[in-house]
Amino acid sequence: MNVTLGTRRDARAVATVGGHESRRFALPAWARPLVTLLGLLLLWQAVVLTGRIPQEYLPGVPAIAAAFVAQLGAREFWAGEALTMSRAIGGLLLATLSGVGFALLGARHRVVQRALAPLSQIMLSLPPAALVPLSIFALGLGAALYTFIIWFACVWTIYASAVSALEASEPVQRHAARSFGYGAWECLWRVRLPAAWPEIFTGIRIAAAGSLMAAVAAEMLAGTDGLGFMLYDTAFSLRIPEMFALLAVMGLNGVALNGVVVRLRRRVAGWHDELAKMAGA
Amino acid sequence: MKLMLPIRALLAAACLGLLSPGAFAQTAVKVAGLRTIALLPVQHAARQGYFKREGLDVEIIAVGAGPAVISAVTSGSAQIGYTASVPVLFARAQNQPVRIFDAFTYETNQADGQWTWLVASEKSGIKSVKDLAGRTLAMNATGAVCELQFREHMAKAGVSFDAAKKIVVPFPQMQAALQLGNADAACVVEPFRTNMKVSPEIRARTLASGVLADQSQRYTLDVLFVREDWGRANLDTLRRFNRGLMSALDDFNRDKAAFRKMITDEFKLNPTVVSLMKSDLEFTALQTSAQEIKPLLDGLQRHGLLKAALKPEDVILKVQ
Amino acid sequence: MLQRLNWPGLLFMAALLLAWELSARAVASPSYPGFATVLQSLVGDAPVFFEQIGITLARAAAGFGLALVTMLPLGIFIGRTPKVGQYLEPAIDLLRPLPPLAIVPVAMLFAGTGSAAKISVIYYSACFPLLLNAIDATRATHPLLVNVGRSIGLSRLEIMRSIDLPAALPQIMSGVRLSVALSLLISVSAEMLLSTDGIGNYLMRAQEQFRIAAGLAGITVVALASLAVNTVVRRVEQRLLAWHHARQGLASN
Repeated sequence: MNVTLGTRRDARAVATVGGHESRRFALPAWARPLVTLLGLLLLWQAVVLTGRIPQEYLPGVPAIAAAFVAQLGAREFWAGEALTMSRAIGGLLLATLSGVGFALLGARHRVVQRALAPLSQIMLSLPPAALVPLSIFALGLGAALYTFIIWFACVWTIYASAVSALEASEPVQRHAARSFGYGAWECLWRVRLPAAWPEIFTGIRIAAAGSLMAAVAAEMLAGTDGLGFMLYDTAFSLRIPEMFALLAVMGLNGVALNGVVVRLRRRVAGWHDELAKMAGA
Repeated sequence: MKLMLPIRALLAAACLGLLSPGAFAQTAVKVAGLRTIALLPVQHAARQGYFKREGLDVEIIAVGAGPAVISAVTSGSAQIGYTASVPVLFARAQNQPVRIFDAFTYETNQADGQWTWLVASEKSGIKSVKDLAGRTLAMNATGAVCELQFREHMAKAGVSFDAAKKIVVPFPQMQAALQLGNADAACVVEPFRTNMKVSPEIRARTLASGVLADQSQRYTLDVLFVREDWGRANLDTLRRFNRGLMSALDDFNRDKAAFRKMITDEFKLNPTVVSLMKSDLEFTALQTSAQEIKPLLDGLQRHGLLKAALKPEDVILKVQ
Repeated sequence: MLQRLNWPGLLFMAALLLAWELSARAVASPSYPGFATVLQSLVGDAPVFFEQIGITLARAAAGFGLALVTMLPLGIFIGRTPKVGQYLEPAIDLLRPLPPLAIVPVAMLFAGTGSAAKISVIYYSACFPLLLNAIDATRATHPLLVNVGRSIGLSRLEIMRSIDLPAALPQIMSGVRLSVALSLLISVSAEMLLSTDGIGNYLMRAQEQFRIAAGLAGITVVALASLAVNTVVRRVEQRLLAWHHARQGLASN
């Protein structure tokens, strides 16, 4: 199996695919996302050039790029970016702690898991946007509102992933733990949780995108600052290229956040991939 | 000895200063409002220090949606709210404790005395409200001002509103909807209306203006409101707020160009659009009365959009 | 039958509802209706609710169905062929965090404001949990399984179909559960933005007119619908993964 895990190797990474060595030219790892990005931009420009949608509503890449660059120089943009990202990450952290925490509790005491099951299933499908008006009444406009909405948007996904992951522990691992004399909590903490991290991280990745979405949605509906509010503002002032530039920023934020989560996954659960690699195809 | 006199004078001045009303903690007031041009006078007053002069420390929170503004006020996150009158009427009808004390925009039957329009693109071929029969209408929300406006004018022309198709899109997307043919006519406000007029692809034609068909009694559109208990307990604060705001409105009354410049700068709109659009707020008076709320209330009830029996006097808070 | 009911779950929900009703009575504000008031509104308008949630569910199902049939094969393919993954995954990571609120105006430009636009937004959102889980699950398949397949001479496609898919199924089902929930959520959200019909539209109107109890009733309807859908998904999962659960059950005895 392919071995380049983001480490700096030279361009001709030796790839082992299906047991055969392949010496075809391979781009370095950092270049590949750029190629994809370029492809996406070309696709966008092609769609714009077909003229199906007038350019004032769907601007071409040059117009959006110009607006993007202009924003990078604006102080209020960076202020808004910092606010939105900090809100999203704060809510995500809180959701991870509470989601994994409750899942662990539920894995130890089945009663807790069964009690929370209907609630978590219901909440997964509730759009956070629908809760914003009630939440304003309860929490006012401010940090508490954002934290709650983002926490709500993330926690059920992470909880569901964690529950599923903990349930799926390999019996072999559990038996081994018991034969070592581990009690129930130790078994959970030392064996089942580490084994569950990969799937939990998949849930966290999904929730991370949700946290950004929820932050932007809350800022658009009840916000007074942040990227969501700026998005609303540019749309109502009919500054369409700026609006699309902000959307591009949101996409990049997502990539960045996802990258952070993947890095974390490698540190916490990287041994999993190593194991698969070693047993290697 | 000669130095003592200036020092005594200084001490005396300091004592007087300490005794004067605005010297200690100023009353903190948060104003939550929709981010439209009518919020600019409030911002101007805050920036020029007119509120500070009255002993008020005003913080302005711009919010994206009307219901959010009302929730902010009822929850106590903000003390004063600014939004369109119709959401406030709906809230009041559901026993939310809000009361209107000022109005910013009115509609009258004078020429160019309106703030809302029904428009159609040139290529749709629609020339009057009568031609709207069975066509597709674009509104920014259902059951609110836009729907009332369509119903009023279509009823006057003898055309059925229910038989027409409707789509709901936010104002920024209405122009796209008209241009792409997703809609034939739209209910719009500034700056979208001027933008559509000058756009060569749309060349919007005005079919009707004003929310109500009968504008002989002038009625409010955008209002300032408070939560009832806070408002009654702080009438003096509201009077001071009004004085500060009137100073800002006086500035704009003297210099309308300055107001337009503020619009261009704040919203980064196209200056041409700003020079063409309607932007003269009611700069001379703030207080509103039950008489000016009544026409909208009647209109909403007439078309079944508001079912509660609400009296205009129950919506107003008299400040002066 | 009584034994199969989730007693802790039911009791917990009942306790929450009781707490809601009691706190609403204590606060006594029109902004905070209690459970009883909301239930009244729900029962009173029941036919309307049924009709609206039906519309919402139909769109969610269409979007999810499309995502399922396109993303599962794609995910397994990407998981198995690392080269493709290295180019496509950045694209996935770039497109995934775009909020549906942002996609809706673009979808509206291309597809109007009807069901087509909403279904395309639902499809877009439902794709990612399925895709990500399929990729991750395929990658995590124990290499021993794949080696066995290769040693008995299965082709790439056959390995994907008869080894990767079943081995990845448990995690894929986790992705299915999330994707289904997401489809319903995005269906409601899309209706809140492009309000023509459906339960999302009902919620928006209730909010704008400050009919808070009706709005909460709408949210309750969404909650009940999601419970129903989730039960169905779980039944399907139990059937499909019976062998997996049996194996775990045997081993843990």
